[in-house]
Amino acid sequence: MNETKPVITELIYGALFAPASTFRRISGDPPLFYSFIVFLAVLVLTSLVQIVIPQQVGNLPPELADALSGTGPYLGIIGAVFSVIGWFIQAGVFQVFAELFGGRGRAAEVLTVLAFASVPGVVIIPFRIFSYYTPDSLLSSFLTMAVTLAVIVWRIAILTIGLRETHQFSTGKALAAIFVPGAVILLAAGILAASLIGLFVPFLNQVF
Amino acid sequence: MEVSEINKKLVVGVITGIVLISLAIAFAVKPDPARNRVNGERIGVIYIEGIITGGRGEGGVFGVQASGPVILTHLRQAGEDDSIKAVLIRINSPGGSAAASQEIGDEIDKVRKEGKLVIASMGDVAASGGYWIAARADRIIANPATMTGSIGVIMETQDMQELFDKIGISPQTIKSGPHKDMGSPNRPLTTEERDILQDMVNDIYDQFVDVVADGRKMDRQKVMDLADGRIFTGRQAKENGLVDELGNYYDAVDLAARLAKIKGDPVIYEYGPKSAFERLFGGLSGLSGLNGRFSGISPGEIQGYLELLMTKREAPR
Repeated sequence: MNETKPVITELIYGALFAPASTFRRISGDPPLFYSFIVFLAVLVLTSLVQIVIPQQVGNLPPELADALSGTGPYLGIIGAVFSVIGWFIQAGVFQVFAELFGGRGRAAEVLTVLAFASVPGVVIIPFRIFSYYTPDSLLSSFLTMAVTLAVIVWRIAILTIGLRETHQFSTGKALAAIFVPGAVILLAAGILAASLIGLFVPFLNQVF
Repeated sequence: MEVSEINKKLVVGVITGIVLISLAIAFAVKPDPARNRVNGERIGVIYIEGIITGGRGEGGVFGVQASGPVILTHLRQAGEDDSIKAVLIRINSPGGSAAASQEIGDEIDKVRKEGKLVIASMGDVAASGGYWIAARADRIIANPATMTGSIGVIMETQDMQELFDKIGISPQTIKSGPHKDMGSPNRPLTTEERDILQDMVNDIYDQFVDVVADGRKMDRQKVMDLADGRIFTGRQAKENGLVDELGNYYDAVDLAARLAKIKGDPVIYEYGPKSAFERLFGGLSGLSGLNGRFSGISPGEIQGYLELLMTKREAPR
């Protein structure tokens, strides 16, 4: 049967609410153009929040606070550029680890999965704005925290299912492909920190 | 059940619409400048906790002390920062070095001369040197049970000659003048030396009384009646005019905001260590010279350690 290619709204809906069937459908022929559009749209929307809501600098040192007070738009732009770079780096890392765990997908598919997994991030935007304008409300703080937590879980779920479907391996392996890189980085940082402490202890003994 | 194509578009459209509308509202409603003002109006909070010394160490895990030079730096920064409209000095100190208290008091005067309001908020105790500093503020607010006052000066020395004789120690002193070892534990004070030290104590006491009379706009004789070294509760101090209002830290913040005419909720900026790590290791800088190599200690540091060691012996009370 010759299946028609899904349109962008169908892909967004599918990634959010039916990720397994959606990613299974695009496996082998990832819609890279749509992925770019979705990723950039999410990036623009989340960066706009940085511009609209000023930086929380009230309790920074005065000189630093003054310097940072007008940096919102620039931080948004810098963040956006790094997000695009990070998208490719993340896709590369997940691809390597997915292949190590026996995955058979392509990097372009991982890029697509990552792009669509970023969509739940926009759900936080109304809550962040609501929270900013109701600073003393316990409800808004709770809602923002709860939604942020839910969105994190939602994104991990989409990412896991997306990797599982595109690489055609188990959910456990997909989770491992997501979390092992972080664990490796943490382990490396721990070893590095311990080594640096060991390196500086003789100097500290001299000083104190 | 398969969701229809129209419904999928509707769901995506609704989510996008909510996000865009919330962003549009945020763009339309200008953020409240008072919420996050930086170039606006803030209250700077400077903590004076522990024994007031002229040294640089701040205590940290190795004890709590209020370093005069550090507090001076904070006051200078607050004075120079246009966004700081009022300075709240939170005092929790039994006193300490008279000179360090005087230095801090003088810097408070400079901050006030720059048109900034200075409010003193007393915690558990703000006595002696702590009160000296508070007296320089525009307003003083204390808890009813705060221990304050102790306006006076004390200097103590120990004569250990008999003890040394008993344990067979015979200290030898080589000095350039007759009074160079004045106050030494090796011998008792002579009458002349006692008079010299008493004059010093009286002079510092006079300065202390002048500071209180000037700062509190009180008759000098009235201050001297109160300045017999006794301590007062916050409530007694208010009855005697040593304190303006009774209240806690937040009352002091509100008072500072009101008097400085800050609109809306004031933004608080706290000077000093921010993180637990900084607080924990805040005292390391003060101890960094204590590593055997005597030549590594500057005269200032030696003076700092000496003041720290002598605080309990020589403290204005």
